[in-house]
Formats: sequence, C-alpha cells, structure tokens
Amino acid sequence: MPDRSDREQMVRAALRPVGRGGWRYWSIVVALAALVAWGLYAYSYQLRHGLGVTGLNQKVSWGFYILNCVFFIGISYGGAMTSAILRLTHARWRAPITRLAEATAVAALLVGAAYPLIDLGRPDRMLNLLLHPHAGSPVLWDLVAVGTYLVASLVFLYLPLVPDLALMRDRLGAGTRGLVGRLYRVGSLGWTGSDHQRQALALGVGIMAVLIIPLAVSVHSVLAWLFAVTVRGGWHSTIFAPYFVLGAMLSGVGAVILVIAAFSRGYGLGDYVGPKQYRYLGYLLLALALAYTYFMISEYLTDGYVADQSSGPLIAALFTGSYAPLFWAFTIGGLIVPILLVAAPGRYVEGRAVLAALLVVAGMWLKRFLIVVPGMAEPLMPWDWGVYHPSWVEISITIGTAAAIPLMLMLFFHFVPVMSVHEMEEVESESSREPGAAVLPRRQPAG
Amino acid sequence: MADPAASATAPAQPQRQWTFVIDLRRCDGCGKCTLACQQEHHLPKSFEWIKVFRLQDETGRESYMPRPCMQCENAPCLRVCPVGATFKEPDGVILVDQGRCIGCRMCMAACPYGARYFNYDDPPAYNNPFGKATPEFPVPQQKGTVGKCMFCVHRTESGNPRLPACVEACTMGALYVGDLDQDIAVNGPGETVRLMPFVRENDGFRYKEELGTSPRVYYIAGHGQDLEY
Amino acid sequence: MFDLARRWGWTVALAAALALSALAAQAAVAAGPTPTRIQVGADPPQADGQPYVIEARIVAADGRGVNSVPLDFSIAADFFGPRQLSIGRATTDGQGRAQISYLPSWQGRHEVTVKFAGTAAFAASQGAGSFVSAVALAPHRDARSPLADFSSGLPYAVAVIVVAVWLTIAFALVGTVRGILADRAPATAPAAADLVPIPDPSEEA
Repeated sequence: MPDRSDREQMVRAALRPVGRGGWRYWSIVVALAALVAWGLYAYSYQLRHGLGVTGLNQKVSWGFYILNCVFFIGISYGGAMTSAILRLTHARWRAPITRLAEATAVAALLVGAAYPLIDLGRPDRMLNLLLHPHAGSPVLWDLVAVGTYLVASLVFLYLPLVPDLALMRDRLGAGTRGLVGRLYRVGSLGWTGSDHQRQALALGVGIMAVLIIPLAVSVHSVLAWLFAVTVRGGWHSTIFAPYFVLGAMLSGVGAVILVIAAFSRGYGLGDYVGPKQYRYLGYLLLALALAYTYFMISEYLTDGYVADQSSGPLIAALFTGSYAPLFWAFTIGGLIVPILLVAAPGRYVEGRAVLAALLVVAGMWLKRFLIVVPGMAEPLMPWDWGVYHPSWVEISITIGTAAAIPLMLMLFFHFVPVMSVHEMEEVESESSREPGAAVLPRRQPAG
Repeated sequence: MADPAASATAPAQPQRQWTFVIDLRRCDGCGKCTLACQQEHHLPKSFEWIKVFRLQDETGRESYMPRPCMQCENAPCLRVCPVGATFKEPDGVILVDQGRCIGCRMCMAACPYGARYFNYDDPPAYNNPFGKATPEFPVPQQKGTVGKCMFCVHRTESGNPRLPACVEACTMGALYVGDLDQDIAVNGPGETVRLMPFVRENDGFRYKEELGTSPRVYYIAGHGQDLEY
Repeated sequence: MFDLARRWGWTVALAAALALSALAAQAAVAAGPTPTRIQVGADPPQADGQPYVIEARIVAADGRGVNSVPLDFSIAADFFGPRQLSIGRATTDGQGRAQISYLPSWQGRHEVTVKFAGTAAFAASQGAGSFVSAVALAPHRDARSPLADFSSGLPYAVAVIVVAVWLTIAFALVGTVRGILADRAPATAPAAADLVPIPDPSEEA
C-alpha cells in the first residue's frame, strides 16, 4: 500500500470536486445547460412541425442527424475501448483516466443513441421497432447493437464505481443523508474491500472489459452497414465496417484526450494526469490516425482507379469538386497535421496532444459529413446532384447535444470521484511489487 | 362471324403480375404522366412518383426517361425496412403501409432509383373516397412517412380495372402496363402487345440490371424519334 | 446490231406483257375484288412445352387458295377491357395456307381471329376459330437473391449470439453484485478517524 499521506493526497484530489462547485463550475454548468435547453427547444419545434423544418429533402434525406449519430457513438467507442484495452493490457498509467474515459463513453453514447430517434419522421411510432421488428433491416441491427452496448457501458461504468461509492459513503459523513446518501449506500453494496469482494469485482470488471471490445466493434460495424448495404457510390464498400471502427476509435481517443485535459485542469488533477498520459494517448492517436490514413488511401485508390458510374463522380466531387474544400480540410487539418503534432519529439507534449485531439475530433465530424452527405447527394438517376443546407434546427440540436456531453460529465462528477480511487490503489499495490513503476507521485512528507 | 372481342376468354380476374414497359422512342418529355399521377394521388408538385428525367447527348439532342417505381422483384427497400412497413403484394407491387412507417428513410437510402419520397410536410387535404387511406391508395399521404408509385393498384386491381393514371395520360403511347403471367401489355391509346416478345424484339432492357434488383420496368431504348408501326 | 435488235425485241415483249396484265387487273377491279373467306384451325402440340400450331386457310369464292398474301393472327384477351392481342403475321403458300406457332400464355379457351387486309384482287376478310389450351407458359416467378435461402436463417443465429451476450452481461453484473453483497459491511457507522472532511476548493484556491 502507498504510504498514508500519498493516499490521502490522492483521495483528496479525487474527492475534491464532489458535492461542491465554485462560481466557475456553476457558470459553466449554466452555460452548457442553456445550450442544451436551446437544443431541446429546437427539437420540440421539430416535433411540432415535422422534419420539414430541417434542410433535408427528397434527394438528401439523411443529414446532420445520421452523421451526428455516427460521430457521437464513435466518440463513445473510444472511451470504452481505451478503458478496456488499457485495463486488459495492465497499462498502469491508465488508472487516473479510466473513470473519465468510461463516463465519456456513456455520455456520448446516450447522445449518439438519441440521434436515430431525433431523425425519425414519426417518433411517436418508435415502438413499432419492437412490435413489428423486421430482422433483415440494418436499422434493427443498430437498435440491438446500440442497446446492448449501452447496457454494457453502464455496467462497465458502474462496477469499478462500487468501491468509490463506498468511499463516498464513508467519507462524506454528514453529507450522506438524503437521496444522494442513500444512493451511495445502496450503490456501494456494502463494500468493505475484503479479498472476496475484490476478487468478485476484478472478475466482473474483467469480463466486461473483454466483452466491451467486441460489442463496440459490433456497434460501429453495424453503423457502417447502415450505409454499406445500400448500392450508393462510396457507401457500398466492403471496407466500411473496419473503416468505421477505426474512425470511431480515432475520434474517441481524441475525445478522451480533450476530456482528460479539461477535467484535469478544471479539477486540479495535475499531479496524476501528466505528460505520461498525454504522450501515450498521443501515440495511440498517432497509430490510429496512420491506420485511418491507410484505410482512406485503400478506399480512394480502388474506387478512384476504376471510377465507375457510382463512385467516380463522388470521388471527383470530393477531390476537386464542390466538396473539395471540406475534404482537404479534413485530410490535411484532421489527419496530417495531427499526425505531425503527436509524432514530433520535443516539448509541449500536452499542448500538442490536445491540439491534435481537437483537430482529429473536428476532422472526424467533417469526415462523417463527407461520408453521409455527398453519398446522399450523389446522382443515382441521370444525373442530378442533390443539395443540402442544414437548417437552424439541425445546427441547434447538434450544438445542444454536443454541450450535453460535458454537462452530463460535470453533473456526474458532482456526485462521484473523477478518478477511480480504488483502481489507483490497486495499480499502486501491483506496482509496489514492481519497484520503479509507481503511479502516485512520491512526495516528500510536508515538513 | 361473331366478333371475338365481344367474348373475351381470358380467365376471370386472374392473378396479375404487374409490369411496365416504357418505350423511350415515343417519349417526348411532356410530363403528362407526372401531372396525372399527382392529380390522382393529390400530391404536391415536388412529389414525382413518376419522374421524367431529361437527358442530353453530346450533340445537344434531348431525350427523356420516365422513372416510376421499378417494383423490383429483389427490392432493396423491402429488405431494409425495420418495421416491415414496406411489403410486396402477390401481384408483385411493393406497397408502403403508411400507418406503420416510422419515417427512418432507410428505404430512401437503399433505393437505387430514387423512387421514394418522404412527406416532410403536411400533404394537401383530401377526402379519400375509399373512406380511409390504404397502402393501395395512400391518399392523403401521411406526414413523416415515405410514399412512392404503386402502379395505381387501386385502379388496376379494382372490380372495373382501369389503366394506371400515368399510362392513361400518356398520349404518345410510350407507357405500357403489362401482366407477366398473361404476357400482355397495353398502352394509353390501346395498342396491345405480347409483353416479352415486344420487349425482346425491341431490345428492351431493365435499368441498372447489374444491381440484381430485377426491376419490373422494361425500357426500350430511344430518344423520341418518329416510329412507324 | 442484230444482237441489239433482239434485246430490244425482248424489252418490247416484256412491256407488252406488263401492259396486258395491268389491263387484266383493271378488268378485275372493275368487276370488284373476289370475296374470300378464312378457315382457322389449331393443332395441339406434340409434346409438353411445345407451341400450338395455328393454321389458317384463305380461299377465294371459287374455292381456290389465295397465295402470297399476309394474314394477321390475334387472340382475344381481357386486359383492361377486351383486346385483340396480336400473335403474329404469316404469308400464305400456294394452297392459301399460313401458319404460326404460338405458346399460350394462359390455360383454357383461346379465341383466334385471323384477318386478311385485302388486296386489289381479293376482298378483306376475317375468320375465327378457337381451341382449349391445356398447356401454358410457366407462370412468372420472381427473381430471388442468390443468398435468400441462406440469409433467412441468419437472424436466428444472430439472436443466439445476442442472447449469449446479454447473459454474459447479466452474469458479470449479478455475479459481481452478489459476490460483493456476500461480504458486505455491517451496518455500523464509519470510524470517526476515517471521516475526513473534504477540503473546500475555495480554501485551496
């Protein structure tokens, strides 16, 4: 076990934000809540007037909503994958960031899963999906895959939370009265940290960490098949499922870097989240960005070389046509520049990683736009291109849902520790058997 | 010699297998078919269930290609509907149950012919003479659901069969409605042909045959030239 | 010169013959075209899948066959009202016979009409006949996806996997919860020494 003062420092750092918040915290919460409320208003406007208030039309009948669905579920994916992979590979530097990654996964998934419903022309008939399911439809595959993945993500978030809920139950003393206190008491399941309990928890978390990876892969594959099972140029592609999985991981790792940077700064975790995390996450980002570039080359080379009637005009539009500015903005700004940023040696590791992550996340949103909209606008019949200009409703809902993710995270971490105290202790006790691998900073006792 | 036409002897009310033959040699792009369809189904102008595409070759000569729903035998839209709102009738016509459709528009993404139309806004008000809208005659259209051409089965399958509105309106005789089982097709002016021999002799083709959708619409290539029959 | 004269002689003879035949034709027209009538019959096919042979014979009033004239064959059909469905055209032989082969599109009675449009010498006419077909073209079968049979079983296989995944999630959750609950803490207040107040962020700032 780490010595008491270090542990105490860590516990304090983890618990500091719980149940409190200064004016900065609340002003950010209020600002985010205002954006979410505006998005909700936009959605209620759409509910009243129908999808006619969007920029969608007969030719481009999928737009912002579908691409946002892919984007946000992709973000979620990165959170779950980072956490699960790092757990399974016993990467010690993961300990301070798994909680943030898992919570990001759930928050982004809730937002992403809402989008297919926002996109429905008749949301009032949503239940038909359960009453009259047609198993051959990719939409139904999505429902099953996303539903399963959501439940698994919640379990994967909850299980490692149990010891920390116990900590809250024990530490907050007088604060544990009322509903929140009862939640802590019931949620912590009488955790005492006995060996038996640790074994049970380790097994459950281990199973979920193994399970969450194929589930996440299945979710994004199914999302890709939503497009790939059509005959449209640029969509009907065998590479699409792994391509989407990779894109999701790329944007997800980017989002995790952003969330970690924001929360470690805002919540004073600088002692625990440092250059090591940014460097390793940066390497992960680098590997994924390179792999994504490789997939892109493979896609556009094979399609562009043949340039048949369905994919030829699409690639021309992307490379040199009306979508070229967006396409090259993504390729250069969202892939090449971030690769250079995280690959370069030298100082400012954190700054470079955060900038690269920002570019990657924005770039991947753009890439989803470039997958969905030109694929829809491309002519099927001789030979009319569609046009799509998102309306204020779509833009408002997009911004509102994007704001909902940090809002949900901030509210969530108002009640639970932002770092997994239990996990950091576990990693620490592991590493105490392997000298020189400590996670917790060794400090001189305050003198 | 009795007039044999008076005692037509095909079996009474046989099961039809509806199909279209579109003779592009005759189409002059007048758009009467589209107009007749919109009047028949009380559709707004943007709903071109049968749409006439204007094509132009290198010499600037224009030609026209009407596109109804292809009623594919291997229909992509049918496969992807998550609630089974799109279904195929025994007569081969693909219908949409607008009372079940949830408006996900997956079918529109899947349709290779762009034949499906989403009701973004309220359809024009209309009192359906059949009482309520049915998949065979989904008029008025329901907001938030998808609609498309269904070969006017409310006309062709009624007790007193009438030609589909577009076929009836095509004064050029470019549109034929046919029955694959009886191997017969007829156009608006009343010219009657044996379906498959007519298609074969005139080198008929199906649009995007390579997709494997097996559309039920045959085209005869051409560009509005004068024909002698 | 002699050769040339002979050739011219031939030409003159030909012209004379043509003029004579034209005169004869004019005489015929003046008398009105000869009435004709048409008999129609159908031979059933020798084997399944073979077409019917529909034969018509057109005879003039004197009972002699009219040769080298086109006959149009059609069948009565009911398709948006009564229709005459053209099934072919054939030219008569020396006996005035013409035949076409026809594979019926439906089983049952077929009314055949054969029409002769008429020429200068022979009047237009039509004849009718009927036959009952026991065979017909195979009814139309819809094309199917090559994987249709295979893919119809897939949902069940996938459902098994999905259920297995849900069971695993349930196992992980319930197993862990039960494992922890089995060893749960007695419901006592935490030791006072462990109660450390959380520092106020305002102090830290």
